[in-house]
Amino acid sequence: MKPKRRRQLELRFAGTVPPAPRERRIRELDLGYTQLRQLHELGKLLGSAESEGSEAAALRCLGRTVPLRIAMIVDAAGGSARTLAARAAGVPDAEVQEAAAHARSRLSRLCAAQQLAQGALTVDPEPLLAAGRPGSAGRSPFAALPLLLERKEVGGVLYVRGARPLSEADLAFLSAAADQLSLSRDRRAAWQREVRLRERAEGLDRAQKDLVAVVSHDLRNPLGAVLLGISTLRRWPQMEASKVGEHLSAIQRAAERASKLVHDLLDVARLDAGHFQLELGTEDPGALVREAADLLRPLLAERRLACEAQIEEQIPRVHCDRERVLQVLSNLMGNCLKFAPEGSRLTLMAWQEDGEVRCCVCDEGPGIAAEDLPRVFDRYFQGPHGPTANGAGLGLSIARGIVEAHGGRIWVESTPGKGSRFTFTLPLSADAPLSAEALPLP
Amino acid sequence: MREGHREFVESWLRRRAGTASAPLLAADALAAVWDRARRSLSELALVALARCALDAAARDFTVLADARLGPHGFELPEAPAAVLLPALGGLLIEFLSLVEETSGAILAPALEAELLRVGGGRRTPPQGIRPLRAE
Repeated sequence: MKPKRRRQLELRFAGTVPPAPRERRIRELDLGYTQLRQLHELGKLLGSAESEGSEAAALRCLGRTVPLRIAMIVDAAGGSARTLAARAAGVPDAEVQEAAAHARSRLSRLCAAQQLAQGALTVDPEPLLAAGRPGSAGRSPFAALPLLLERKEVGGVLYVRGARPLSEADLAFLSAAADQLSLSRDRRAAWQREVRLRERAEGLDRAQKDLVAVVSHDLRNPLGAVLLGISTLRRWPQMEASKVGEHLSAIQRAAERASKLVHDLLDVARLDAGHFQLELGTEDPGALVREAADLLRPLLAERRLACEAQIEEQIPRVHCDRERVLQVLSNLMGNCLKFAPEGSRLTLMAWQEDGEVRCCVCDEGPGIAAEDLPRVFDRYFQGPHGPTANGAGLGLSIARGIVEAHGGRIWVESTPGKGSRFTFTLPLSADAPLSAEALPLP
Repeated sequence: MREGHREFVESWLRRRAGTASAPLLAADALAAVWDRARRSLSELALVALARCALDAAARDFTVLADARLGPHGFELPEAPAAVLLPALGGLLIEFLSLVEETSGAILAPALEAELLRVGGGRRTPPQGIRPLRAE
């Protein structure tokens, strides 16, 4: 190097001369007019359609620009890869499957995930339009372009096999197409989130209106009874002791009703908010059923209802929250009590079936009309007899919430005129089965 | 495939390591590769591949845990040459391997050719000048 040049560079290195502007080669993707036009078409296609069917059409659209044997979109979903594929006419199934496996391995690499399992493979019945002469199978070059979720993590790949060796221009086009797919998916996901939020907001609005209705009607009545009773006692201080006792009992009943309603509303709020806490333990379902029957015995006697518990022998223990399951049984029995005619029979059952324990409450009441069956567990649902003084239509809704919080199911079967049968399931505990015997209750 | 890239990058590093300071060489090489890849890969695809390569290389070279991806490509942290150059090599091997695994032989050879031009005296240094060897 010449001394002068060297001196100049040394001066620049020492900071005495401003550094030369850094050479930058900011270039756009090398795309031709036809490719840009096709990308425009692709954007319209993906932007106008909301269903996933648009992605199959997008794959076919790629085939109009780049001669392809196979084009596929592979998505990672829960440890497996779901594939949507399109192929040119004459491409055999074996090649599609081999390409899907190859694409899956590329996706695993990009996701830094363990090897993804083969998920569903859907092949578009419409063939890719060949834009050029197809090459020979097995030697086709490929490209796997990442599909991003929310512009961050890789959620899938756009994988293609060319009918001829792919060029850099092809790669640039396919890369831009992959971006279009990613962005259209983001738009679709944002739209779905928007819909869910709107539905949730509408649900909250309905719930608020229902709550106002319940508070203004069902809570006002018992509070009115309490105030009336107290007012009466204050107005007639010389009232006979027996009459005073009657008024106090009425006040107590009204206060208990109001208290139960408040508890129910709190349970509903907890279930809605997902804050419903379960204190899980290992319980004997037979003992739970018998205890529930014992708790309601005074009411049963008052209505002159017979009650029988039928518990399968050797019934296994269940994994549940004892108090909450008692609440479910109490709510179901309370519902039956409202409608069962005097002198009829209430039957409680518990048995093991299909790897779970089933509990059932049956009555001999008027039954439920077929059109009402799907709404029985809806919040605030009142039967055809209209609102009763004893409920706000929350008991069965809460029962369903509790059962589902245990991972169980609840349903009702009914024949008008013959009674109803409410059944729910509870998960088995790992403990050994416990023996129990059928104990008819008095 | 990967071994081929390893041989290439190690050979390139052996020849270029003394021609410039380690940070300068790293910045120049990564910028060259990034700019060349941008001609054929969209921004999203390129960033996804780069992030994947960076994560993979960071498992072997802890200094890369502090590396970032900016709008102009990789940004490596300051480190001694003995730490930085092997990390640069690891990152280049990962990136070239990943590009080849996802696009076959379409782009990776072009990136290697671009890399050959770095540090060979034909590229203008991004900032300042390279330290000169005694002649």
